[in-house]
Amino acid sequence: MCVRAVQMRGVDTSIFQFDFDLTFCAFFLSPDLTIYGRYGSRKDATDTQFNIEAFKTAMSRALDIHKGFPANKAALAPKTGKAYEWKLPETMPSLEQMFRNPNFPKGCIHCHHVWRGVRRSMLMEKKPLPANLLYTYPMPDAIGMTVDPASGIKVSAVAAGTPAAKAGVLPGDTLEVINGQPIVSIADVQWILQNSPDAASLKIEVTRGAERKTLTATLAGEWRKAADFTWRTSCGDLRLGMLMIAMSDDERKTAGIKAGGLKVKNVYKNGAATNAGFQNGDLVIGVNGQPMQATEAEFLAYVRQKLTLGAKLKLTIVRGGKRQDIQVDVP
Amino acid sequence: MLRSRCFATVALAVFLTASSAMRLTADDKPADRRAKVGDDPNISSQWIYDDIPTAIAQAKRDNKPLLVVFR
Repeated sequence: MCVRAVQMRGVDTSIFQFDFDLTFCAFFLSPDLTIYGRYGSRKDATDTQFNIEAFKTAMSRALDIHKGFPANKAALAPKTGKAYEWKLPETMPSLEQMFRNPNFPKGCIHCHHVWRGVRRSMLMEKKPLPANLLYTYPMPDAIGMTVDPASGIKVSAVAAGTPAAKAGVLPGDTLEVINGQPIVSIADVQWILQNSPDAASLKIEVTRGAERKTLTATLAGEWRKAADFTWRTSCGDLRLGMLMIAMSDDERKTAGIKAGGLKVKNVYKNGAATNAGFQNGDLVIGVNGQPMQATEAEFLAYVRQKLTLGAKLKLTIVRGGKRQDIQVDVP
Repeated sequence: MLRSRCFATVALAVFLTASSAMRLTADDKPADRRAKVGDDPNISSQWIYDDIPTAIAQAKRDNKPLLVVFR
């Protein structure tokens, strides 16, 4: 039975959890909605993640899992996540609020809106965002293994010194099971990483030639945070109402700094930054009296994990060669 | 004999109509694509458009696995 979903209104997010900044995402499920596997999703990796052969492999593996169902049901249980506080996107407080806005189009709830719903509903309750709601759905590269997009399950490279390398994963290994969950595609690996704590142990079962091997990868520290999340459509809602990019060397000279700094590339219409008085081209050199040394992703992570809605943030900028402080209320 | 020839002619006409109806072009707008795909019995009998509850009910009834695509 095949169904194509084109929007998220009425979709049960206690079952259908995926990287909502997507291009294409597929779920393979049993009739009782046990998840066999996932395929696809994030859109910044379109060239490297989507492949018809890998999709066929995922479908084939999902059908193999189906043949073993329901005997394998317990192993598949972790493929369904912990339910969000709000099951249906339209009941998430921030989305309810968004659709009450008369200026907002009353159409469908897009997939990326669900990230807004989950994140902003937490922020509205003064809860800081956990790292896995900022650095969402890490690719296997986050732990040091690149998976060949043409197969979706075969490791093509392992970076030295990474958790995958230390575990003994080798290029050419085929991923079979991780932490008891059968793997049908890269998206299944992402699912496991998304739900792994920062410190975790991954039991990775691979086939290497005719052999089956069980390897253990140890995750610790900030492995998740290597990913840049600012490409995401949903990131717009994390910003202060303006998109910032790294300064060039010339801009640093203009701003009188040697390192770091962010340049305001685009001030969003009617946003907090507009209200505060920011302009395109402003050079941001300081935050709350400290030099701005962060990337935009690091800065946004600081804002969304350390500050609450309405908090005052003082940014020091250079505009037309002159320094000035601008205070912005965290939106 | 005549009856079976009539049936074959009608079936061929239906097939040709469906085939031409489902030919998608790069210029098709999303609504046109939906209409064409919806008119093709080969596709519409296997795909449900934007109605997950119906798909779940049918999967349960037929004891078939589900493929759900978000796009």
